[in-house]
Amino acid sequence: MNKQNKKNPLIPYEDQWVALTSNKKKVLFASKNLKTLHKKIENDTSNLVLMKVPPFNMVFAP
Amino acid sequence: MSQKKLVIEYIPFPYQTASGRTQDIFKPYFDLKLSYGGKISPTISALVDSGADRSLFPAYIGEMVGIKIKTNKTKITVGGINSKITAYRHKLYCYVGTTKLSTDIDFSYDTNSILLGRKGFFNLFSKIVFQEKKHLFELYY
Repeated sequence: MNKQNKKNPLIPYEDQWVALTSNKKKVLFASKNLKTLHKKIENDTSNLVLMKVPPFNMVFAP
Repeated sequence: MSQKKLVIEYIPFPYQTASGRTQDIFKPYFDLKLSYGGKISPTISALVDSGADRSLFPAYIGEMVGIKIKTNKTKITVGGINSKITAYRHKLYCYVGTTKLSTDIDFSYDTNSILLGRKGFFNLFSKIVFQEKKHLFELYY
């Protein structure tokens, strides 16, 4: 882990689905669920990356 | 045929420590598209999970490319820590860069995790190298 990065674009989107620019520097769309996000981006998917932002208060051990 | 290599940087995710401070935790994610019946998904970023036996995706991602998830009668029980969920296995294609590869993925209505596991992802490559200190991984195929 590194020190806090206040510029992390994911900070406002904890536990949400997001559509990012292909370089992952900017979130363009977000939603609580994937289906709603998909409807938002349906006609504009070419340069987007979909991702689930995990909760920030836990580590992940599947 | 020459070997291809992809070098992928880890993604920094916010992580809140027990004391309430927010730090970045770096995780290996890979961007891929799924293809089924000629339909191609948006690009999806998935966790490269060496601890997962198989790849597991939310059912809706399969439905995006037209898979009727429950038509496959091969119901799979997927176990995590203290939990079990039901998934349905389907054969499809994924794009690694511009290369189209055959794979199979377990889809579940009970998960929001997108995991690329050893069977279905790791086995598509001749070698995968994780460089934790450099926050990157390499895929050789």
